[in-house]
Amino acid sequence: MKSKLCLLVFCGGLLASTPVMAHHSFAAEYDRAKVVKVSGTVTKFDLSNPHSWIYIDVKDANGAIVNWAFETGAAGQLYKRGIRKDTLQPGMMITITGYGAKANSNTADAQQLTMPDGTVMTLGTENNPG
Amino acid sequence: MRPFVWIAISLLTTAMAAFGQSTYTPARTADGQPSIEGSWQPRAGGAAYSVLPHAGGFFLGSESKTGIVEGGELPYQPWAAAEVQRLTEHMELDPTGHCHFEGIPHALYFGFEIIQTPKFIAFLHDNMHARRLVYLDGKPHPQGYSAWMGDSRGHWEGNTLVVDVADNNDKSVFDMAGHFHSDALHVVERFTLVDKDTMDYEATFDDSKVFTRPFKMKFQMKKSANPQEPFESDCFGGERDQEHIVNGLANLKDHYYSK
Amino acid sequence: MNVRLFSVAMALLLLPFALTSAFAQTGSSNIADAGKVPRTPEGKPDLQGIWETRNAASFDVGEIAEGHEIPYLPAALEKEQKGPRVDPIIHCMMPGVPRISYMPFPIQILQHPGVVIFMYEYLHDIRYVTTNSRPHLDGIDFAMGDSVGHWDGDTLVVDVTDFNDKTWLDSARHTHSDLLHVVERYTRVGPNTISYEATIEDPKTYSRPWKISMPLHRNTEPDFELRDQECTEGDNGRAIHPPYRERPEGDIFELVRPYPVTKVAK
Repeated sequence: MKSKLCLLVFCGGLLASTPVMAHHSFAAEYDRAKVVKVSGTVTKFDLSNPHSWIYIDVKDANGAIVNWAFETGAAGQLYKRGIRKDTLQPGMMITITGYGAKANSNTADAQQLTMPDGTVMTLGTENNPG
Repeated sequence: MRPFVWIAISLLTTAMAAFGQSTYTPARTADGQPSIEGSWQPRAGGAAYSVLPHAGGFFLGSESKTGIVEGGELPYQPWAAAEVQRLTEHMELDPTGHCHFEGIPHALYFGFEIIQTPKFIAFLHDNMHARRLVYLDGKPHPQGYSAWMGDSRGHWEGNTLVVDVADNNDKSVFDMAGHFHSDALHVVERFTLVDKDTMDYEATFDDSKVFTRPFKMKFQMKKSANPQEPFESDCFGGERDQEHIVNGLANLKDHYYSK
Repeated sequence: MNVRLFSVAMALLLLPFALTSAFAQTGSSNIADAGKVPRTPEGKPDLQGIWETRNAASFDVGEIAEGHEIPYLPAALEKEQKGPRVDPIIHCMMPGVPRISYMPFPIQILQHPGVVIFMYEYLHDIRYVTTNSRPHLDGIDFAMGDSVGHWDGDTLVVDVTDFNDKTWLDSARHTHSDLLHVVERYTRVGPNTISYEATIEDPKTYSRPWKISMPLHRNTEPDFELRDQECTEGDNGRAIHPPYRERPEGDIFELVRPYPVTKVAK
């Protein structure tokens, strides 16, 4: 029974996304000029806090398999966009674009993800912090 | 003068009410406080990146032509201004990157809920499960205590909640632009309920170890249009960014653990 | 008429005993408070205040387990014993449920229409427990799980699922899988006591559900307030759990087992 006096968020029975926190500066980690786009097979998807991570095996120019790590939004943020922990499963073929890390060649900040069925999802980690 | 003129002057004066002034008649809690309960969304203009005017940009948050500091500058002492510069070159030292409490006023740049009781007002922040209780019972700040969120004691002046924040540690920061303070920081905040959906926030900061004079920050807060239950917002559990923040972690130990 | 009068007199005489035993189901000896649970304006039992655990369950949950045993599945026990040996809270991970309820730090409960808010001093943790029985989330895991509450008479029942598998139940390395399901029950049994019970089940780890129970004691110190408790990664937990002793290798801790616990695989 919803009380008329319930002024807080808890009464609606709905769950919100976690707003982006001032959690470190992406400008210190990622290089906006280093645009990357890779396609490969998902090895792991962590829907977690403070950020979620997508790990993907990619074939490099020599045919060797390299595992890339893409950082994306907080668990709650992605949940609000309909993403669940089983949305990306090991073995799935996907394409991701992002901004490469300054310090590490196989890490990036995810921007867009193309699913096996062609659906494109925006995954940017940086929203308007207010 | 004709009554009409007096009425016009009164209306004009009311319309021109200064920031932080309120003639609004608020709803009240059971114990008579103006009710500020609910879910609030600050309009802090990208202050998490910098409290000073700053350009916007993809990795820089939203633009702010004015920043939230009155006068648009922070009156750092010369040695402190150099330290600010050093900190901007060492983003690995940013404490929010280490999942620490944001402190005051940083924690107020993002959404939070307020619950009022006769003894305290609870600010429950969506980010990183931060909270602070503003005690209303007139007791003094605890001695020999130092905390990321400080210690808050408050009272009402009309529609304004006045909060005295002391016992701050020297590790919380105002933003990610290197704007630090010392443990001498003392803040007096004024939350003024302007209408049922709006609060003006104005705070005076005093820290004679680092700044040349006190200064003010201000911004407005609005009630959330569509309040919803917060998700678990944890940081420590899955923090994996530190390992690839440029400049490395060499400075970390000295910065945090030698103090 | 005499018989009727006698019956009425007997009924009146026995009524207080009836009320007392109804309220004292959980073993309260506070007969003076029988039937007088303080209530919030919404008519719910008032659980508000600052409460404390006074046991060593945070070191070993077996201390408060029924029969002092944890019914492990053999495979789960083996996996646990071969698994990681560093307590995740050393790296400042949230302690999970039910561990947060018996960490040796005060808990402040705040009630508001539609929600019970648990504010923990430990790691400034917070749990918002809606009392509107909303459905659990689907397809997401949290260290603290997803807590959904409702009132069952005068007992607050909190149903927690959607756990990840990263937390321990205590510092003695009692683990669980992501199928952990915990049902907590909070009942006022006196002016300064809440009876806390939790049923724990996990079909990947345990052979059956098992229960823990303990009192939560009200802190009655005048002017007592929660303080900030913050974790700083890298201090090897010394600031949090003094009984740990660091081995020369630096990263592996001796596990303190103050209570003999039988791990029975049935």
